[in-house]
Amino acid sequence: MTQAAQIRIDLDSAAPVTRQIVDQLRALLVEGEVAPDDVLPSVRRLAIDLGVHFNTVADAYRTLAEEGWLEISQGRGVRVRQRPAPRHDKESLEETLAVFRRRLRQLVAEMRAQGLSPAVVARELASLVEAVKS
Amino acid sequence: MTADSIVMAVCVLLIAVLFNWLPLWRRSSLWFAVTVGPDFRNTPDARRILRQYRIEMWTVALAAYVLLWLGIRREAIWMFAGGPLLQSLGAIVAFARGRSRTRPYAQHPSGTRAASLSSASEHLPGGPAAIAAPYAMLAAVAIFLHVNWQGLPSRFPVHWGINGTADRWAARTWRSVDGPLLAGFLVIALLQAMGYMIVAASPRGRMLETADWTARFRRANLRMIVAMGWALGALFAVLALNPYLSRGDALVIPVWLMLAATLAVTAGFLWPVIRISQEPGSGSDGTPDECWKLGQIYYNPNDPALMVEKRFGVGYTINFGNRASWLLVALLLMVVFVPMLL
Repeated sequence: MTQAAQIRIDLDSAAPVTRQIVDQLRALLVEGEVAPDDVLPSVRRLAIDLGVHFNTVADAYRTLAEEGWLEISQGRGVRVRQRPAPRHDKESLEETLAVFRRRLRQLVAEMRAQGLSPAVVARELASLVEAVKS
Repeated sequence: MTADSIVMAVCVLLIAVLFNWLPLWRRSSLWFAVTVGPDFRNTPDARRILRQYRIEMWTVALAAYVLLWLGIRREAIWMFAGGPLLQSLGAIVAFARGRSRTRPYAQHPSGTRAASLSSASEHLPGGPAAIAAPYAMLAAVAIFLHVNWQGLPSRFPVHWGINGTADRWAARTWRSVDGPLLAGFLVIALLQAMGYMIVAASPRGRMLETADWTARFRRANLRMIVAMGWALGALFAVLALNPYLSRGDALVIPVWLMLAATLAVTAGFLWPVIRISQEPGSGSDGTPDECWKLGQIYYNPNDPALMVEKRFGVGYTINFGNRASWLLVALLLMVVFVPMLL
């Protein structure tokens, strides 16, 4: 794990805190900022540091454990697992991509609604594409 | 004027000087326990609020002196002891009034929170040896006293006035000999328990931009707790040894010297905490303003932290919204009452 790896939440945001934690941790896991065998802070520690209820963090860890990213064991804390990429057949791939496209469209609409120009949104998406490729 | 009254007058003055500066020893975005802009403390409004607080606080200090003077004249002990109590209560009220005056300038605290994903465990500074040292000191004294039991006077003083004159005596029993050591043990254990609570149950830094400041502030506070443990260990060890060393009613080491040494050690380790508190850009602490009752008591059942940084004074305080806080309060009461029962 890199020294700078951290979670950032916004209590004023409309998005639930559990969702914010899940989304950020997943991004860190996918990008390799948090690697397999890394040990994450305990539910208690992270909840105290963020100032949110224990259940909020526990739910976030449980969601990621169900996705196969984390291993939660009593006494040994929360460990990052080596997660094989899930395989898709043609049908499930289409389904996943449809969900992804819908979410992306919603996100783009949200950015436009906040006053960002199409050019800025396109530039951000292009930089994201570059980051994915590298 | 007796030595007791001089000591008490000095105490009132020291308390007033402390309260005079206490509101300034906080994060830069906090003013009288209210979240404000980072530069608010340099504005004329902030200075006016501070001035009004100081006028009120010094007025109460003056009233405490009057009470002290009346206590001396009428030989009324309750008036004598009531001075510092009145003064402390007065400062608390003055601070709460300062908080009310600051509220119109309050800013909505940022809802952004950040937490490191590092799982590295934190410990009290100095490690197990530093933690165990005061207990070892008390244990060594206990062994020494029991080995030299016959060398102890059959009756010796166990309590002294502020001027160092003995005013209570006890026969040589395990309670009178080991009492100061047990009291010392409890006080140090409570102090170190608070240290562990800070390590385990206080936020390591909720605001990303001030995480470094918070880490240094925490470290300085924990160093002070460990050092106070040593100072108290030495103090109680000397008190327990007194009957053996003195063989009379006098204290081998005068009260003023014991108090001065303890205060010097505390001040030496308190100074870095104050210095860090004075640094600009320390932001806010990530706790909601509305959860600070009178600006001093933190009650937030939605915050899992058991200990949080104080908003009035130096160090940490308990989150009374956390059920575990009552266990800490019970421990505190035990430390106060067990030595009394002994």
